[in-house]
Amino acid sequence: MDYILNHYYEIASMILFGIGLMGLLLHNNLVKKAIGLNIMDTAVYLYLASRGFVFGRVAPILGDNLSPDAAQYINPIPAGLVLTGIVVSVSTTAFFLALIQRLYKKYHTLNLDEIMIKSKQEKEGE
Amino acid sequence: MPFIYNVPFISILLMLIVAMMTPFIRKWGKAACTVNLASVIFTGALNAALLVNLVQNDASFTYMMGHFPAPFGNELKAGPYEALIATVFCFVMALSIIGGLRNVFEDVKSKKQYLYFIMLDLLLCSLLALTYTNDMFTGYVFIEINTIASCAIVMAKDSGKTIVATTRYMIMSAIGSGLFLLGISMLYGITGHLLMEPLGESVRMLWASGQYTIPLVTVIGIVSVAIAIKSALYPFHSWLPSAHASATSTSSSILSGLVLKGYIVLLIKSVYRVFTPEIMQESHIADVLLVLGVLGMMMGSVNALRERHLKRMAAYSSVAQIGYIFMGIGINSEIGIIAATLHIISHAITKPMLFLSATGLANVSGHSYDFKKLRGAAHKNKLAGIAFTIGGMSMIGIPLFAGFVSKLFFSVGAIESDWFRLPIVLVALAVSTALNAVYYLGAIINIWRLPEEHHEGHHAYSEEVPVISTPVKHVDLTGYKLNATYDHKDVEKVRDEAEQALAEEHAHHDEKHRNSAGFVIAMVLFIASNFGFGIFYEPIVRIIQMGIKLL
Repeated sequence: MDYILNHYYEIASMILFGIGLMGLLLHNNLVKKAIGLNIMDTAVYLYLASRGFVFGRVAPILGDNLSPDAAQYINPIPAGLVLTGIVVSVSTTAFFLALIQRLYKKYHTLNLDEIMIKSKQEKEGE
Repeated sequence: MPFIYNVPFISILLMLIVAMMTPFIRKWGKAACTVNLASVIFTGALNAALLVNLVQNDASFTYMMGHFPAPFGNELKAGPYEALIATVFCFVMALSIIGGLRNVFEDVKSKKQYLYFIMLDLLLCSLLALTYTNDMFTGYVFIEINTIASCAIVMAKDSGKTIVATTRYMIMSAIGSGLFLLGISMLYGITGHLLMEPLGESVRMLWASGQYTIPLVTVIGIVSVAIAIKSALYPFHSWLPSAHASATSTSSSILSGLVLKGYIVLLIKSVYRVFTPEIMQESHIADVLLVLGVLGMMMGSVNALRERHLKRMAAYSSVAQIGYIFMGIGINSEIGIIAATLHIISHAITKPMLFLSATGLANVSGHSYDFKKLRGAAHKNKLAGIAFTIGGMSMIGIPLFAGFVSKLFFSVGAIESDWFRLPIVLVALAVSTALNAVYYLGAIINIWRLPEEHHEGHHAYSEEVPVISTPVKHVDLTGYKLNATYDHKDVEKVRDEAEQALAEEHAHHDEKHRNSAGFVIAMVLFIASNFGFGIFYEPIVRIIQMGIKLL
């Protein structure tokens, strides 16, 4: 119980990751799939951010009242990783949404199953 | 530091810069193509020079980005292994582009051709980065770039089928990269490192001390599964056949020959530098990979057997070949990794040849990949037929062809390993070779079989053309007859015009039948390298051996 209370961020992020993964895998609606993808990525950022933060310490930014004591600061790398990850997931989402738009223009539906059926009925266009 | 040690960084940066500069010449799709091709060949030459240098000195080096020493900065690491893989990637990429060029210009809208070449540049950039990087997070970022670029070259054809295939590919890839990110985040949480060498040290320490055993096994499992999804290992392969079969021929050959391999190279590197073969063995992840690889070899071949679409058959065969490579990693000995690497190379030089020649065959059979329509196609396009035959033989693993070498090393690796692996690997090799032989020989016999009709080779063609062009002629003439003021001269003129149109159509058709120069060059080089690799494999094995020691 103690363990759960101390690590609720990590546990929440893992649950979110599972929700996102299932959304990405099981939903038929493509936009919901994109949302699932985002939940999944965000869960990982939550995990990284919570691992990287220690209560009572500050970000290592150079200032006037600079203290040489490293124990006052948190590790900045997880935050950097989160930023990089956000950039990556934004571009993936943008690409995914563009694809969805294309599909909608062609088949007038967002349901992946219907799209698959319609595309199978198409003449082999090769 | 010798100047040549800058090559890994320069080649990654060069491809990025070329990709960013290409929009400035977007008006000319051909120019974009030339620039792209030149930079790919130049990068290949640079990497080959690096390979020669590293092999001569028996050396490997780390390249510090921004000169921050080990636990802090970002690093590239290059040894003979990485340089060899990078050279092969550039070589195959250049040949695939040359060979499929005409199809690219036909399949991609002319306004968007430059974008296609930008994606190819980014793809090579990310492949090189995956090969050379020494940092897990950089690996993740370039995996994502690779995903987007490869999805984009699948959908470049812009038909309904390719977009659906791209969507499925994108979904599976997103799951794979999400899992990979989760895995390295957890690894970073446990160890506090992202660079492979410090990471490996702390992983070994933690494993020896018995702390964090379960999280470590979880992390190794997640990373392996992520890469297995990305490279279409058997239970995760569902996206591959449609994506590879529906894309334009250059895309399918690059996807199947290179993109799948980029991730596997990253996995092999992390097995050696981070997870270590011992931990892979003790945590039984290696066994799981072996079993999945064997399953993939079987199921990929069985599915290929059922397929009546030439490109889909080749795509399912890729699933089987990926199974081979994972089996090599699962054997988990030095010789297993050598065999896996040999298979990476032999598959990389064979599968693009198969895809390109399949397109060459389809071009002379009414653009269809259906087995019935392809019957006898090899007689109409001899070069493509020969190339397809050689590719098929190589995939079966007949001696003197490239595919034989890796199979030889797989069996040697099996004989030298333990009681669990020996029977599995040998039986799997035998069964899957037989299956390969059945479906490839079926396809080869089909394309060489003489059609039942007499002399169909020429007749089918001359019957086909009038069907297209005569209606136009009739309409022209009848339209003229309705006109009251026609005279003899006009009729003659119209007839002349119609005849000219017919002749042009004939010429156009002939043009389609003839192979482009690029296709001929690519095929000849692919065939030559296939035989070269199949016969003179000793030096390459020695380079790989040296590279694995320095990995």
